[in-house]
Amino acid sequence: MSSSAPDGNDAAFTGMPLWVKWFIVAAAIAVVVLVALLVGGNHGPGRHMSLAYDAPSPSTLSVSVSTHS
Amino acid sequence: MTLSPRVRRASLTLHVFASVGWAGAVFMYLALGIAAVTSDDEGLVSAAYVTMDWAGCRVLVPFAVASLLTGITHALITPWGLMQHYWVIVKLALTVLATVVLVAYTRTLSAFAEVAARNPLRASDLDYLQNPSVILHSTAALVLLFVVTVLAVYKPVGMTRRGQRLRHQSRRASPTPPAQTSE
Repeated sequence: MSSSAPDGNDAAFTGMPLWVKWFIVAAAIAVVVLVALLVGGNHGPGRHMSLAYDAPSPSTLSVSVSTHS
Repeated sequence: MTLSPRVRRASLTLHVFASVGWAGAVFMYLALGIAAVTSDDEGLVSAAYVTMDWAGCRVLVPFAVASLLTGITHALITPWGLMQHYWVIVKLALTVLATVVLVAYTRTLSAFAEVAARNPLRASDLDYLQNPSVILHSTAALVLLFVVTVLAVYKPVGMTRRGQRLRHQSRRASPTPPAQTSE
């Protein structure tokens, strides 16, 4: 952002500019894709969290085996 | 609320500094992500993720939040306003989006770092760590930050209904000759 004052070019605009409309369309598509990825379960932090916590390391396994034997 | 040019310049300096720091940190994450994905050195892969996890909450997120807050502050103390120009609103929306995704992604980085900290790493751990998640997220963040920078530099025209109303009111309150459009 600049600290300079806005110029008078935008005085003629009364509605939403075309670039904003295109941006909204692109954002809507991006949101749909993201939701599809998240709902599909193939993305997001949960995927990594479950793998990280479910898979024990070899050292954990060996401790577990030695305590049960 | 428009403050003096000196205060506005100081505010802009802080905003640019925070934003540059944010972009620089993302570039570093991209480099670490590429190193982690392409290297066969377990130590390097492990160190890359532990570093990213450590720096996430201490460098990346603070710079992102600082950029967001200084940007909001700067908009509020300059004639641009926060909700008067579409480019400011779009820039704000993209920055909020990037910050939210970043904060959420720190959980993913923590999960990666937890696996990376295992000693020794299993082959499946290495496969898990060598996925392109960090590269994809860093690249997406850089694209988004580039778009935000373009918006800040070019300032595409377009005033919101609120902006037009406020400008109309201020012109009626203090009738002055129309501003020159040479800037």
